Amino acid sequence: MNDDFQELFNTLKPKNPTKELSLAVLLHIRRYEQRMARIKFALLSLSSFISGVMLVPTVSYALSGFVSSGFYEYLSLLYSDGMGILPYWKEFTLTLADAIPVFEISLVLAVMYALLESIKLAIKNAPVAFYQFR
Amino acid sequence: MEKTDSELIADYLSGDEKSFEILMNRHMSRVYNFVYRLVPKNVDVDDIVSETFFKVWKNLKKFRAEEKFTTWLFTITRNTAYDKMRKKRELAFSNFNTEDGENFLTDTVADTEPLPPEIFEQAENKKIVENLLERISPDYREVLLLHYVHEFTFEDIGKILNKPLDTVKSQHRRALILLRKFLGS
Repeated sequence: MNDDFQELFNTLKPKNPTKELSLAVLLHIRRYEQRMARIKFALLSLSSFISGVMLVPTVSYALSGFVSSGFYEYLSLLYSDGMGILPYWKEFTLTLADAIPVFEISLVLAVMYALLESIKLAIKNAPVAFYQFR
Repeated sequence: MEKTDSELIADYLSGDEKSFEILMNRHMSRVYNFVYRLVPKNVDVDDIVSETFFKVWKNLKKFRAEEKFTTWLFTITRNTAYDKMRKKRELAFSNFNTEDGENFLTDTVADTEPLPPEIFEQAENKKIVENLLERISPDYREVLLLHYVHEFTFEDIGKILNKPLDTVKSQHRRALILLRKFLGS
């Protein structure tokens, strides 16, 4: 470092930023966070609504799946002639398991997961999204 | 014991909101002074500083702990300042620069002679350095400010300006020659 110039530059008087500048930066950040939280909240609310609406046809699709696969018929056997099927319980259990509409149930669970997750995240974003700056 | 910059960043990323405020307040004055001396008087310094710390906050996750925080911070500061100056179309260059950015004075003056002692006596009262800084191009100004005011090494300045070490050293030399010439006149 050139000492002469170092000495020369030491004569520069430092300028102090105002205290409001730090607050302005923090406010800028908070406003940005709020804008992002509002966008997320809107998207998550829409997602909650869509998955809530989707839940109705998915559940009815799953119920019809139980009917068409014969699951209810097999299950009713258990109540009407429980003792009769006891010697064949292994075969009966396999048949019953085979009659479970796996795809339809997975669909219902996926939609329910989307609904609950959307609601959870929307609630999480709500305090930031609707915070009132003084 | 005072936490390091990297520790404060790690704390903030783990959820301690206050850490960013501490980090910002620690460097606010240095950043403000750098911008204040770098940009022309008609550019809003507060706006650049505010934008800089906002960008720092937004990119905090991208900061690598093995890097020096001040180097990273001044890179963002410098880029933000240049963006604003470009927008203002006020990227003023020295009257002594050619269209290629070269300076005819720098090739004719030696940079090793000591400065006359009366310069130091006058410097503080007459704001000599501030006036000189305003007369030279931002390319030279930023090298001098980073080296003499903010005490960065040439290697760090190279990282901040994204320029090779030799270019930084050459700009530094040319800037000193120019200052010496102005001081002589």
